[in-house]
Amino acid sequence: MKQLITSFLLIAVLLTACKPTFDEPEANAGTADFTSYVAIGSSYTAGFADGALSKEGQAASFPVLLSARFAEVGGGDFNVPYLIGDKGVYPDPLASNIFNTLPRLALKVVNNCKGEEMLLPKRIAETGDDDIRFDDPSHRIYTTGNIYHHFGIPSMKSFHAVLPGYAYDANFEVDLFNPYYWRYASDIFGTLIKDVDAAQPTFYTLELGMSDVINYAIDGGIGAADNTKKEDLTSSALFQLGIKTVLDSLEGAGAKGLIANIPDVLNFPYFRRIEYNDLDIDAAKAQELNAQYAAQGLTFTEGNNAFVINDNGTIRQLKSTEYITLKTPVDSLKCADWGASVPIEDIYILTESEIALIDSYTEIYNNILQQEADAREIEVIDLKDFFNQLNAGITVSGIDITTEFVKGGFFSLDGLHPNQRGQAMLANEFIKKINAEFGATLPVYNISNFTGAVFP
Amino acid sequence: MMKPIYVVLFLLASCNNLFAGGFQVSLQGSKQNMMSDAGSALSLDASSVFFNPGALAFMKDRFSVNAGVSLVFPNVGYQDQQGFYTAGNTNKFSNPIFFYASYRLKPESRWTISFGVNNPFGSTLIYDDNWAGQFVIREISLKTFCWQPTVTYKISKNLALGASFNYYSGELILRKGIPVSDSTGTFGEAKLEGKAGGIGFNVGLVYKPTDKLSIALDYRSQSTVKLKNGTAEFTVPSALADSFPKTKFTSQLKLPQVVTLGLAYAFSEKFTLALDVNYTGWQCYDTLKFDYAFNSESLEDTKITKNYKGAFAFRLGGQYKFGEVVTARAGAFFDMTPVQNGFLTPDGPDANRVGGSVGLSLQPMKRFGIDLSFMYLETIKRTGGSYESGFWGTYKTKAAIPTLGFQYSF
Repeated sequence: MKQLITSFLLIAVLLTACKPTFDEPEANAGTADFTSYVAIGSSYTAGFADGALSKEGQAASFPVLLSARFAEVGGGDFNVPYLIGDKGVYPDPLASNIFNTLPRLALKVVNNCKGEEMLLPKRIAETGDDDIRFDDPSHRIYTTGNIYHHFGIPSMKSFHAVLPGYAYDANFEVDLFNPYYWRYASDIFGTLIKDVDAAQPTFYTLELGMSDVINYAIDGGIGAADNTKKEDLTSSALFQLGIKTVLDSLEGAGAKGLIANIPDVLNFPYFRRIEYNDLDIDAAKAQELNAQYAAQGLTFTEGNNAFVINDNGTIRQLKSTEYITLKTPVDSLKCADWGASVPIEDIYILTESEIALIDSYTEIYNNILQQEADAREIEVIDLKDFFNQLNAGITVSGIDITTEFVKGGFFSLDGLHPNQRGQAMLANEFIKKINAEFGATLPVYNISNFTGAVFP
Repeated sequence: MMKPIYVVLFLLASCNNLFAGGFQVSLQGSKQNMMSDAGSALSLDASSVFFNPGALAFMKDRFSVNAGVSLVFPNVGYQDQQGFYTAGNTNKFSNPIFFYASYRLKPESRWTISFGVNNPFGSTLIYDDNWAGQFVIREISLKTFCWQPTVTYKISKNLALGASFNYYSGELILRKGIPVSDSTGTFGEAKLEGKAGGIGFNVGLVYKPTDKLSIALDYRSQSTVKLKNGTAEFTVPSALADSFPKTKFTSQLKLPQVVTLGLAYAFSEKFTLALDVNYTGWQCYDTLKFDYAFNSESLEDTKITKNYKGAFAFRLGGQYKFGEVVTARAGAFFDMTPVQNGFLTPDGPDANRVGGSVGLSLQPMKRFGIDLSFMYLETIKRTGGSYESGFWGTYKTKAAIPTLGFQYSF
């Protein structure tokens, strides 16, 4: 009897400790060679977020996340030109001194012009770091022999990557200079692609072309088509030249890789945060505006109305198909009567014709990317499709993620660039594609480990 | 006799088609436990209050008290889609209890009154706060108590009917992460706690066409357990505190109806086999909704689609009496899951279950008995997830359940 009970209890105790087990796969690189991975691209590749490039953002960028996975399967060094300062840095567009910079944004509880307490993105300090003060060569971090792998340059357009002197500050006036690249260019008169080549790349990701279209959109479509200023749309010929030259160089070096196409940037919260009819007025105000704009035939009613804009000299109301950008000062809308008695200037508005131009150039650029990829049998990561899905809403690990501003959990506080969670999701898109196309087995990132918007 | 270790191995090796799913706990009597909870047609002890109150009419003892506790050691394993990430629950065990007493009014009376308390539904799973599914669930703990005053009437020598009134009281704790973070990277959390109550009934009929055969039919009604005054607390960054105030909530949980058909046949005085088939009407569990007294743009009512389907369970058990002192029992079961594809979530990562059980009843004194039961179950490995949660992977559950019971009867 005793024996019976003892063995009974023994089995019972043993079985309580019995945990389910699973077969675990082994990570491998498949046919890819990650010995020297280089990332080439603009703001997304750089890790630009919250209105500035910061060390934190660089570390969270999808190429850095990818390189960590590559390192598990034989990947080599991935040298990132990390910023020195902690606040982040973005050239201040409004400052009289061109060397002035702004730090990154963070959410803060502040009182708006009406004295209402609001949670708003605010710069974390008066000024940003000095990393890109190109009046002082001591901020250049390149020293002879340095090899970098991370060529994400905020605002870099397709052709900039092959443009000699993109790091030469005398080109500043014509928008053919980039201080973020100036920091670590090996030769300020040389080309970025030459620095890429110096890394002897075996694998690359190319996410280039978004700046060719989005910079035009960010500035309210004040730029020109087929021109090379910052706010302009790159011509298809120049775009193709840029992409082709970059790919020729990479493939010539024997590197394999992936190309990302360009999403429909107008779904980004920067263009959607403020609704066309967010002008909320009472009956008296409506009457006042009706009188003011009688000549233009504009009518206003109590409640929500379309904002009044100045479209190249024509005073009219915004259409439901048009956008007002996040560049518009919210205080001016709330307290300085912008969009009501004061028409909003064109620089803050995307009109129907500008939107049509953005859509058509996006398509042109994507066709070129696809053509150049096809010609070399390179796979294209369909970021356009990914962002369309995101726009409809994606649920990952219990997190509902959309393109909505702040709440959507993907975009950072500038409404244009991904936050840390967004970058991780992009990294996963690349990982999935690499696994599929190179027969690799690389672990995707667990999205629930990454933060979306950070609240005070 | 066969040493128990062999019995267990035998069960594990050969009884792959053995049978309760969802959050139903079928550990309501120590003797039935040994037989994988078959035995609704048998009058083993006062636990028939739960299994089939009709069977109490055929109890040999006029008075019987029976109480015990099970220790459920659940081990839920999760593996992500690629397979690199694995996780599991961290809670060690839960301990459903049971207590039954039955009393025949006079030695030869047709009437038996009885009472039972047990935990017929419940589930506790706790995961690490930072696990991959933290925004789906961090902790769920559901505990229900069922209080069952029961009356049984012996209609004839071989037919009896029993009925009980069921009062359910329940306690729910649910914690999940909120994907907003403060500057330290700490995510928010929602914690819902509440107590609930509901009523139902249990009716059972037992028919013994011969001395050896007994047929039982039991119906346990559906019950809606209403949670009226729950408290929802949110830990969020201070700037969001106004959007997530502590609030009351209401909810209701539908406990499903269960129909059980039981057969028992005594091959000899020593050896009896019992077969039970349960059908649980899980269809009632379509959504789990938490209605907050306060709503904001950020805080909307929580609604989780469950879409359970009705499910069968098959249980086979046998007992062998070695004499007046020792009775051995063993059983096996196959329990089909009510969770449909596309609705699999880590708060109840259910799959078809197979299990076996073994145990001994010892009667060292005439009036006093001890039951030692051990059940082991596994779910069949299941890969899936839910579109609502966007959380996918493979789950496997193993559970070891020792049960200790005492009985006093005369």
